[in-house]
Amino acid sequence: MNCDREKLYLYLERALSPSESAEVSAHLQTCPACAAELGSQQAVMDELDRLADVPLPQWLPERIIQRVSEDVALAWQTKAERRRALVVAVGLTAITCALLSLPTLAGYLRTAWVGLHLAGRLVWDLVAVSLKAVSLVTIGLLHDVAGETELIVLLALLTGVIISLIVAHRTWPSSASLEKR
Amino acid sequence: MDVSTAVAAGYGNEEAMARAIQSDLFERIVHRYHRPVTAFIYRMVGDYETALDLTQEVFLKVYLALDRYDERFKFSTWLFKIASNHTIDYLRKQTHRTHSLDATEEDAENHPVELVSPEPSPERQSILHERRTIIEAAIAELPLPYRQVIVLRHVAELSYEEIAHVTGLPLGTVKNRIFRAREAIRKKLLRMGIDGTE
Repeated sequence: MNCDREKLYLYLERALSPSESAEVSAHLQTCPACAAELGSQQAVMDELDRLADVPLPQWLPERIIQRVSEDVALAWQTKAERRRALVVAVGLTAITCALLSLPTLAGYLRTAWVGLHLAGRLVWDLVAVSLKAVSLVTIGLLHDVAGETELIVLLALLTGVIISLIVAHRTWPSSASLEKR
Repeated sequence: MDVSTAVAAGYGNEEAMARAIQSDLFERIVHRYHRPVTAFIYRMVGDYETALDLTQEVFLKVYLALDRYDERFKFSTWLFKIASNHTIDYLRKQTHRTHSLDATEEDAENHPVELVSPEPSPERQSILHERRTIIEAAIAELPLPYRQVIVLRHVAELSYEEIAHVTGLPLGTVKNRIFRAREAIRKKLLRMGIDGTE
């Protein structure tokens, strides 16, 4: 083993493996320089270990506990106050937002009302067109199985239905009239 | 009940922590660890009153962080990590000590540790006559990265592995810094004509 000052410290601390420790012990038997170094290091290590001896006031542990209790109580009080302040702030903000958004909300409701009417009219148109188509198909089918008189009566009935639908369709309120309202 | 067991047993919220302080768990922690923590801080900052104040602040942090204690680690290691971080934060704020605190991590590894205090005056020499006083002064002169590990080793009495965990440094770096700090102190003693074997 070569002279190794760092290893001597570890030897003093018993931080080496058994084989390494045995190696250092053997080296110290044959190396006066390292043996002298070891004594010097041991003295430093002893002094360093004594640094843990710091005289402390008797009241220190109680002071620590008292201060922690006070600080924690204060922190919880502050936290509760902050929570209350937050609730008030959120409430006020919600009320303000609601007031500010009232005109916009009214606009949305009005648009929805117009949209609803337009949708109703569209459905009505679809029903009328469907009835017309069904009527024409029915006439075509009956032409082969019914007589002239029955056909004329049926055509008159269907025409009446279609006219009534057209009249109803015309009287349905338009979107423009709704807009004016 | 052992402190670590008690902590691990479940004090995970404010209510439980309040119960902890009432049922003296925290008091037991304080009574058990206030001496090594205060000694560690005192050797780091070198001022007694400051050390007492910082100790109280450290235990407040410990109390508030109890629910985050990870039982995989030794309780004392966790506690000294808080103490070490808090003390270093304090020291970094002390601008008047920039001469030793400006050493970066890289500097710490690349430059020899030399304690360059001026030659002591006769009065100072008489004060520094005792070896222990000289060592205390030498500790105070060490750059922060070295002071931290040597104090954790000899005052907090942590193992090399625990110091590596507390500081976040590789184990090899911890060993190297402790060695160099010891050598710097020993050489200072020799320069002042004090042979360690006396």
